[in-house]
Amino acid sequence: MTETSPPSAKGQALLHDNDYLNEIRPAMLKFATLQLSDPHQAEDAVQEAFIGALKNADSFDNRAALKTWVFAILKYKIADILRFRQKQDQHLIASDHDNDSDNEEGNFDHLFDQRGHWQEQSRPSKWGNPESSFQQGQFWLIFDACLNHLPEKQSRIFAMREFIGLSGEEICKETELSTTNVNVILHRARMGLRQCLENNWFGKAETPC
Amino acid sequence: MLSCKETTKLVSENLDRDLSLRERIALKMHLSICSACRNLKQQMNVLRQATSFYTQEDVDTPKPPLDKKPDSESD
Repeated sequence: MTETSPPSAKGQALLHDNDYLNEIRPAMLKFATLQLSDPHQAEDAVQEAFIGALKNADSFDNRAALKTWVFAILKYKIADILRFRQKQDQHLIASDHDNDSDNEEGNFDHLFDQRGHWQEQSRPSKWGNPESSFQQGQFWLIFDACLNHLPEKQSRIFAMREFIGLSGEEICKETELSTTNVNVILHRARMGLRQCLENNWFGKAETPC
Repeated sequence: MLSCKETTKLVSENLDRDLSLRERIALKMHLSICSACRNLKQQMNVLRQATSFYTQEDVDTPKPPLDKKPDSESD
């Protein structure tokens, strides 16, 4: 039985494989920076994620699993930091939530006519073959740019939901926003992202309708 | 009848909470006659696929020990 394999030299080797670490490090840093809006804290979180992963390196015998695991740890780290931060200064998110809810809402009005139907030129097109986009580095550059282009609060709430995997309820608790507010912010974030990807990647297909 | 604008909200919220029966029916009815909103729904689904792909790239092999809480180094 190979069930209790000896400490995997391979897993250890992977973590000490500088090339590989350098390869995933930028993505992790970007991810952490987006969440935390603080390069130093982001750097620390990434570092800690690597250290955490090192402790469990035995469990890994391939890169994909290792990467997922390192990211999983990073997510916990970020969630921890965010929680801590929320406790310390709730103003970060709460303060600007009063004054931007109206003007951001207006962002998408121009997509619709008075009856709330899509304007001819803003009709969403069908995105062909997204899986093949996911395989292209260029797509992720644009995806990142689009994420960064969102208003900060939107990208953070969106990331809490989609990257960290917090539920709507958890986000409410963390941010002290109401459920309605969180829903509105997520809606805007998705609308902004899809618009950005449509304009910059998937292109405007003819949409006869 | 939902407007397209209202539909985009429900499509988004459907990713975050369980819609009520009434909302589900309204949404379904609207989507059945509006291809633009069907496309929007597809796009929002792609966003979700993309975000999960973003952190789990090329994982089709062993599940990482996600249930095992990574211990935080407090030093």
